[in-house]
Amino acid sequence: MTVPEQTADTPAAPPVTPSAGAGPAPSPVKQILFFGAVAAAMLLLTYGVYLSFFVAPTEMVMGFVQKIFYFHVPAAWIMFLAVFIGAGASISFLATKSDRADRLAHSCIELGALFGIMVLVTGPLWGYKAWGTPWVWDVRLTSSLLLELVLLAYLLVRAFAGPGARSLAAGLAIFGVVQIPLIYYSVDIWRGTHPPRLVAEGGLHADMRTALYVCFFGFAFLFSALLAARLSVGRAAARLDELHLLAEEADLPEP
Amino acid sequence: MKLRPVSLATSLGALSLLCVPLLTATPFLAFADDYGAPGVATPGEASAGGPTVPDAEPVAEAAPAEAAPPAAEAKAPPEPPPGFEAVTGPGAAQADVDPIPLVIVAYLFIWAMVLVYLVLLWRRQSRVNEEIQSLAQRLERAAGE
Repeated sequence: MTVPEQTADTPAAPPVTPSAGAGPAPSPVKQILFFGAVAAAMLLLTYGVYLSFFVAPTEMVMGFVQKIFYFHVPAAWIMFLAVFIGAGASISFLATKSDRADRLAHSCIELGALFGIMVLVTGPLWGYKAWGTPWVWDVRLTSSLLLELVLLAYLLVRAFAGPGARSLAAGLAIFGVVQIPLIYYSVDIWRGTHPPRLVAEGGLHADMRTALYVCFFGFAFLFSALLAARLSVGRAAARLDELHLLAEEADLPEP
Repeated sequence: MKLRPVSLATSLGALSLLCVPLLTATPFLAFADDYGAPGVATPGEASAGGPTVPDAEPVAEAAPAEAAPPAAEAKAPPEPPPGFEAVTGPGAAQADVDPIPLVIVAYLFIWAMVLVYLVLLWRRQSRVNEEIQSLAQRLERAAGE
């Protein structure tokens, strides 16, 4: 029983020494970038909480509950960003069949779903006080829910659909990104219950805007750190799959 | 593709979390149809992206005179189903909700989600690393034979 030798046509086999089992350690630059992103996220989010509670004025109509805005909106923006990157990587995967693009897409969509859940839970908490009900079937709310369901469908397809799941999921990611302009401009087109785009239109107090941007950059660094961690898990899982293939080719018995 | 328990747990957890707003919304849906008057503008600079239908008390001051009429006038309330008592006014049950717990829950929920995700990620990484080590050892042993 031997491990098959690699030829020029087959991809290089990963080293099978136990010491290198988990794959090569990340480079120092990558480690510095990762811990830098974690530190920046912690600092900015702490500062953002301080700004939103102690510096930004209380909103005139809604009062204290409006403070949810400073995390609700950045979470939504990060969800959009994650879906954009995920869809771009999915297109790249469909064009090139690159494993790296697929891993990036999968990681981004998973994080997009995470931030989407934050949006869909914090929004109704805000609405419960401001509207008197946590949920209305407004276009923006409904389309956001639809996007979240598409992202969850992507994850379910990746988990259970078997061979061909990667291409099918890539299609779902592209379908998801098409919804983002609809979500973003829905408040302009249909004038529903959800507030209009005040940040883009300039209808925001300067201190509120500062707090919002600080929170947004904190979330962006948090997203970067989580993405790096998720990609690392993805690389390890890919390496495990390669080793499973080697074990199958070598007719290795199950332990 | 291999079935991964952590992926399944993540998916199920996400789905169950999604059910929270839907389930809590259900009792209010009929009421919301009457209460949610669309198109009421928030005042300019003092606004911060808040919902456009504020509480009953401030709306009289904040909304412009030509704003949309109250929903109760525009549309008659539906007949209450037999066996239930009608609410006396829109938002009566929610008008006095204390906002502080809502804000605290919202902020804590975000951090809880990040924490749960990190724990799941860490567990997934540990499990994959263990499998890699074990498989690499078996392959090395097999190559040695």
